[in-house]
Amino acid sequence: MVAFEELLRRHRDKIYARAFSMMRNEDIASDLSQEAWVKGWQRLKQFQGDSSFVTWMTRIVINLCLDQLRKQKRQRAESIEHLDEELGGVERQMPVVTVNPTEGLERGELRARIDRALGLLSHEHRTVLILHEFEDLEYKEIAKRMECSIGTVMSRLFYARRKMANLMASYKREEMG
Amino acid sequence: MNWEQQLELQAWVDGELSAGDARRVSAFADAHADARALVTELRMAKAFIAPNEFEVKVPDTREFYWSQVQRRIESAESVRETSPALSWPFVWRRLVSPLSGVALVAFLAVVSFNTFRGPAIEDGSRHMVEVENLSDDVGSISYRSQSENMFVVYLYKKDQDNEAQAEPMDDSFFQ
Repeated sequence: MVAFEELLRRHRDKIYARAFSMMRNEDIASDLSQEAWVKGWQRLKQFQGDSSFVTWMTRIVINLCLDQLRKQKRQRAESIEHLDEELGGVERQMPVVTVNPTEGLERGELRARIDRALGLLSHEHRTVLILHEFEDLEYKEIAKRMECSIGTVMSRLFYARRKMANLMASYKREEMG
Repeated sequence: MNWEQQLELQAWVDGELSAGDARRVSAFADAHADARALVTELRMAKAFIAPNEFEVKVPDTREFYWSQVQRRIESAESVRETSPALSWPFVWRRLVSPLSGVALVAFLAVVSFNTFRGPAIEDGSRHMVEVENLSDDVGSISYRSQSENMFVVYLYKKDQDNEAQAEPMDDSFFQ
């Protein structure tokens, strides 16, 4: 137990941060990250060492978040915008961003803006983006974890990136104007 | 540029295409300015998002956070110790037992109704009802009287040895 406490001490921020980035709610992130540690303890014997401990724990918390998001999804109605996104309607109206909207930004400010933009995406789009860009998962792996087709992953990722580029460009315009 | 071509460009940017497909899509991007612009945007977004995740820290102190996790672990372990895992055959048996009792009653009701109705009631051979109990948990005792034109079935739980606890079914139904 002492060794496990040490592992928690080292990696608790990383596990909590992943839960927070997916759920965007402190209480839910805290609850799910703690649940992940409980599951980590219970399944410690299953940890083979194929990946690092923190990667293994991150997978556990991601799965818990995905389960929670599925529960939430069942409880809320699909919006028209969401359906448009799935069909590839909205991003066609977004202009292509040709000038880098992050140029000249300090790292802290850049991260804050990215986080702000991520918060405006739907759960589905944000999750795909997080799993691809931050967790470095391939389309196939994301589809498996999100229980959807590879085509849906590609569509969601495409929308999410284009939306992010446009939001970042709008923040830049606000700053200039 | 159609929708499939846009998604192919993205798959190319992400290195998800085979070598042959990558060459084909690369040639397509070279030949179309709008495709090149889209590729530039996708690469730019990928480049500024991936290394810049916002850093978030657990809002609680280390001690408090650990104490909460520890309490959950202990709680989960105590639950596991007090409730031994139920095996599938046991769970199946618990589900099936009440159902088999209901099925038996329904079976007897149908058979008895057909046996005792109308003129056939005079025919003694119709009283030879086969009673089969498939339940391991519920026992049955049947009593038949041709002279009184009556057929009664008692159901009881096998683990209740005291016969006095066995309650007769509504025998008026079978008369």
